[in-house]
Amino acid sequence: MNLWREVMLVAGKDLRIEARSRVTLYQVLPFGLIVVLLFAFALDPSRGVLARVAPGLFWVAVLLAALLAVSRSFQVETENAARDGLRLSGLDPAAVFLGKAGAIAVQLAVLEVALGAGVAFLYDVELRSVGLLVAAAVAATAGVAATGTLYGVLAAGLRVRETLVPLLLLPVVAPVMLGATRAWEAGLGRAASDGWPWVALLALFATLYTSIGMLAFGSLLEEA
Amino acid sequence: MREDALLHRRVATVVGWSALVSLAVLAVLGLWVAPPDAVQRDAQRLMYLHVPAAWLAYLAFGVTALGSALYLWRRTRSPVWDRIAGASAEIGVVFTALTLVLGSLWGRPVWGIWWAWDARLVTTAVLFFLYVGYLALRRIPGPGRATRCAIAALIAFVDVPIVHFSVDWWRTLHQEGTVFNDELKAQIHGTMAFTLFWGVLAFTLVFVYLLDKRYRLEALEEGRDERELEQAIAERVASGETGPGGAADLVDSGAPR
Amino acid sequence: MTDAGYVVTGWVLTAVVLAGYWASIARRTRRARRTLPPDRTPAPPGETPEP
Repeated sequence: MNLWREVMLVAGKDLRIEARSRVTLYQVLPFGLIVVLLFAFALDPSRGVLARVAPGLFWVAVLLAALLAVSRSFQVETENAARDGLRLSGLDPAAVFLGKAGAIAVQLAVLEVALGAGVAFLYDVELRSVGLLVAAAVAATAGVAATGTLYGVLAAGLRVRETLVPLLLLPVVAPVMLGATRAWEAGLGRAASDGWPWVALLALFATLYTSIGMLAFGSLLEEA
Repeated sequence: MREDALLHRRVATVVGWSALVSLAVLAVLGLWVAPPDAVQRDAQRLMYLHVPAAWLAYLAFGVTALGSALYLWRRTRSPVWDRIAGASAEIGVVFTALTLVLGSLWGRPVWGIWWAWDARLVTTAVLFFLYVGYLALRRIPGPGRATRCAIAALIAFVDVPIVHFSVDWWRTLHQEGTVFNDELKAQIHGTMAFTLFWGVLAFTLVFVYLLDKRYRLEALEEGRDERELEQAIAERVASGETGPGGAADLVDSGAPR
Repeated sequence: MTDAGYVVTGWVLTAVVLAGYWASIARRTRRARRTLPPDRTPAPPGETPEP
């Protein structure tokens, strides 16, 4: 089977599990929305402040939701010796990596659309450049999904997985936070500078960590 | 082998005393001999610790990354590299924390602020958390530990320049050129430059000495963990308990509980 | 706090951290050595890479 078919196989499996269990839809998404709501409690909801910080708050909410999505992605592999199944299946580890990361990315995309609508609604923002917003979101999501999958498999067999992955993941994706927020500030008409260079940075990050993931996933799966 | 061990001990002792003496000399240089700065006055004297500490923090991180890479590469795979990586990381986190605190103590009297969001400081703060994560990972025993930690170290190592670049870019776009950059790039002459150089030298000696000691501790603890595990497995087998997984659940790599 | 106060705090803190960390390694090493079986000495580290 060629690489692409294997990727589709693994991603399809994860997405089918999600379609049947609806965990991301009914648990992770509400969590993200609650985070968005909570920020409003923490900050002054009078119009100026929230609209100004909306891009940053959006991406923080996405990042926190991504932690849950990553956790869930590897939770499903702990039952019925599924990890052993992956190891013995003969699938290319790079394909398994891309498949799992891809499934996480798809779920995050759904989350982002919903959270984005929530932010636009609650924080009263206007969309300036949708192309920029989408491009930045795609690149940022790819980077977070890749890095999340990498750390997810690294910690897959460990008892402390739940608390370890956030600690490992968040510092590493700090540049994604930075770049995505700056790009979205530009896309929402709140920044003087161009957002597209930030998209380039996000794309670089995504490419880099996808490559690392494809190389390292096999070894990490063996040890998990 | 005995002579090698003895030589090793002798060299370690020499390095240790050299480090101590050079630190004492640094104190004399930094606190008395070097003149107060024209602008920063005596507060400048913290630079002679802060910069060497920062140097050491990044050096240690580099050593961890190098050790990790050499461990992962099959041709050079050896527990020695794993231990070096782990030992260096612990030293690194201590000096990263020290760097951050000294930076605040320096920044407060000179610029009136405990913290600033410039690339250098933010990257050092992120570095601290990357280290903390690595050390948390390191505490988890099991056969895959070395590989896990090595890959985590490399993921983190690749991230550091990206963080630095992105924050730097961000700040320049905001056109808030920080005072830090201006003053740190300012030319330091004579005694001050020499003191700074001496500080870097002294801290490097400290690093080498501490790395050696910490490496030995790492090797000892590895041996102890292995023996404890063997003992626990032997006890479990002897007591006749064989549930699902048997003694395998003593190693932290199995199914969820 | 005067400038001198910050400087002294920084230098004393550094000394304490260096000494304290060194002592921490020493203490942990003693503890690890104590759990060794009596007739075994730890292999000299760094010389021969194990297979």
